[in-house]
Amino acid sequence: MADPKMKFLVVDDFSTMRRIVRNLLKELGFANVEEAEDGVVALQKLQGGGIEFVVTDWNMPNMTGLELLQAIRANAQYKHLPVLMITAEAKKENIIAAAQAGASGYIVKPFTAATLSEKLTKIFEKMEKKAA
Amino acid sequence: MSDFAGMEELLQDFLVEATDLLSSVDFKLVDLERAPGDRGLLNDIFRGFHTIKGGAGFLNAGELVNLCHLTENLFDKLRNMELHLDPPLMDVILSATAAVRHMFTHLERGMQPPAADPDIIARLQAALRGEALAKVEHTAPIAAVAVAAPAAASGEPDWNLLHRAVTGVVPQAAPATPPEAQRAANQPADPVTHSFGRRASDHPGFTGPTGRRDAERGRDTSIRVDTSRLDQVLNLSGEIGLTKNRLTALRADILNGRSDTETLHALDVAVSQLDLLVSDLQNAVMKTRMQPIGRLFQKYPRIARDLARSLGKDVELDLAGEDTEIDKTMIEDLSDPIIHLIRNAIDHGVEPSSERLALGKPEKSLVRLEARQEGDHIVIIVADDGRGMNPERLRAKALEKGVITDEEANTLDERASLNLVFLPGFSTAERVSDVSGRGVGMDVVRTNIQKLNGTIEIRSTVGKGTTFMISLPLTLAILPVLLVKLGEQPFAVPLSMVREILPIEPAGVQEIGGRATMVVRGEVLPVLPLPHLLGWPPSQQAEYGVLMQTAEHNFILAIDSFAGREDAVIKSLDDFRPKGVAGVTTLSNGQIVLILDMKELLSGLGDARGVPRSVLLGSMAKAA
Repeated sequence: MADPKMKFLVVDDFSTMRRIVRNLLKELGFANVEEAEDGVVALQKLQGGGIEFVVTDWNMPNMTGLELLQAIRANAQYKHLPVLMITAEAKKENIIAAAQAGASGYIVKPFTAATLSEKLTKIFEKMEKKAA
Repeated sequence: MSDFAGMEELLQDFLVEATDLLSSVDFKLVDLERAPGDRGLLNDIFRGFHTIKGGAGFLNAGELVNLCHLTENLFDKLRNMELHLDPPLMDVILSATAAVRHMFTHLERGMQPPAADPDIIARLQAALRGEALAKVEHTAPIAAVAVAAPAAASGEPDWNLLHRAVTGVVPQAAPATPPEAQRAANQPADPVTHSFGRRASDHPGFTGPTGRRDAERGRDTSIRVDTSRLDQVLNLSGEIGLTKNRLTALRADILNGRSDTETLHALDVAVSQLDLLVSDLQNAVMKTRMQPIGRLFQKYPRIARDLARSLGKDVELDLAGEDTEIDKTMIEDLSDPIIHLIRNAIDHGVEPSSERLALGKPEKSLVRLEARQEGDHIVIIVADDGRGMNPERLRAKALEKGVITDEEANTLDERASLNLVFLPGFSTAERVSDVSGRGVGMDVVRTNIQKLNGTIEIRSTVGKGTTFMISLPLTLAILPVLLVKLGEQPFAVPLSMVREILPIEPAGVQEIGGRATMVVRGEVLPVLPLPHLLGWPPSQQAEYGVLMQTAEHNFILAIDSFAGREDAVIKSLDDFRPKGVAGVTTLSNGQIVLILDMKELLSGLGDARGVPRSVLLGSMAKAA
């Protein structure tokens, strides 16, 4: 199972939503959470180092979640970071776009701690396989 | 009772943030009407609904999700140029935002909002299918929704609350709006307004405690503060702690008999440092209560637009100074007066386009809403470029309504005539419209402003327009006062009411109609001795007069002497409040001083507003 000290970065322009995600992560035992209000700020925080997992909203001003994902995958330093996309849509084209850009997972709002846990577990399993 | 057990905090966060978001959506919608193809605006509005939807999902507010989802889809099509924005579509969108706002009011009471008006949903769906929306006579129902719905959150009901606060009548399940407004709002068969009406009267929980909680605006007791400002407070309190330690050490030294120059110098330094730090801390704490007034302003363009449209006028609301910061409690209390002034400007101030063209004025009228800081005051201006107010007509109207007497009418100068609109029961509207002209209003506006220790002034030029200027203190916590004395007893009067201080000389005091008066630069003013107002025995040595300016009267307050000005930190007397006393404050020497409530003292006098010259001058007259 994943290290509970793992450092998450939650990206969303709506602070209520960041708080929701933060609380859900805490429920799952992950208390080490940083926040960013859009993709631009997220990239700055990533540069600061230490981030091990990115959970990002899709629709944001300045830089969307998809653009953030693309920027992460294009950067040698953190292209291996797991990125979980959160969105309000279960639209096929969105899911495809996210998968093509290299999202590690995709979760549709609203979700419960259980759903989040399930998605995270899947991502951790994949990472372990890769590492092995 | 609550549908949100265990989620209250989340709900509060959501409401605060989503309400802000919706206001900015409303603001952008007004812009969008002027630039229908603006991709940036379309994107922002799309994202606004999208974000609200996302948050609502976590609250299980299905109906809100549904409504936002449809609206969001509409904006998705608009930004992808699949649909084109035309006036009927705009109306649908505006009624959808009003419905979202209405749902927030349910959430505020801890209840899941019911489904939106099926008509709105049907129209949204039709628009999504690309069907041309029939141009039904939307203007009427839309205006009603638009005016009534925001009013539900921030408009008319507060007049009632205010009235209750003044009269002390326990909140009843009374209609939330005055009867005329209620009827006017309900006239178009609009389910949104209807359901609101039902809620106000039928829901068992709405009477009593809930009503009172509404009055206290329970939701708004929390405040969002920039962390850097909180850090500053923390830092300063730390510094004060250090200085306190220094003083404690110095005290020990002094008690042990050390009184050399070095120790005294150190004491001096420590005390002046503490002085500086405490005033910095006061400022910093005050700043945590400050919010940009733009948060209040941004909801007005929408209200102005809806109103102008329903009246068939072409009006642009121009905002300026949104960054001006003002005490949060004042922002809330200013909301209604400003709405009222804007409504007045649009309803009565500006002329219809045809009339403007005939006068050679630009077709579009401009209403300006501006805030700025001037010294230790905040000035808010609501100005229109309409027909202006005619002092002559106002006087005639006031006479006709019996608000003033013939004699009074003759003594009124231009400024005083304009101020007649602030008298209770005065309304210049020839007819009663659903937006203004109910005769409640301007007097309540002024009462509200005065409650905030502010003043409101009118400047008007016939044919050019009218300007209302509201002037407010930066904060309510500190009140600049003038200390006046009767014998050795000091009293404090609000400095904002003091115009000037002059000596009282027996030769300058005349008796008119049995009352002592003085003429100050052509203005005849009654002289009221402070002991008379307080019910004290007449003073023997009224030497000074303080020219006081209240809303209704200017008069000279006769006092024995005065002791300068002070920034009083007001302590209110909650349980025990003598008539005419607004609160108390402590002077630097530890003495407790009563802060006088002039208005209450004056009203206590009834008609006995004045004393004979002999009473005023007492022994002085004999001596002279």
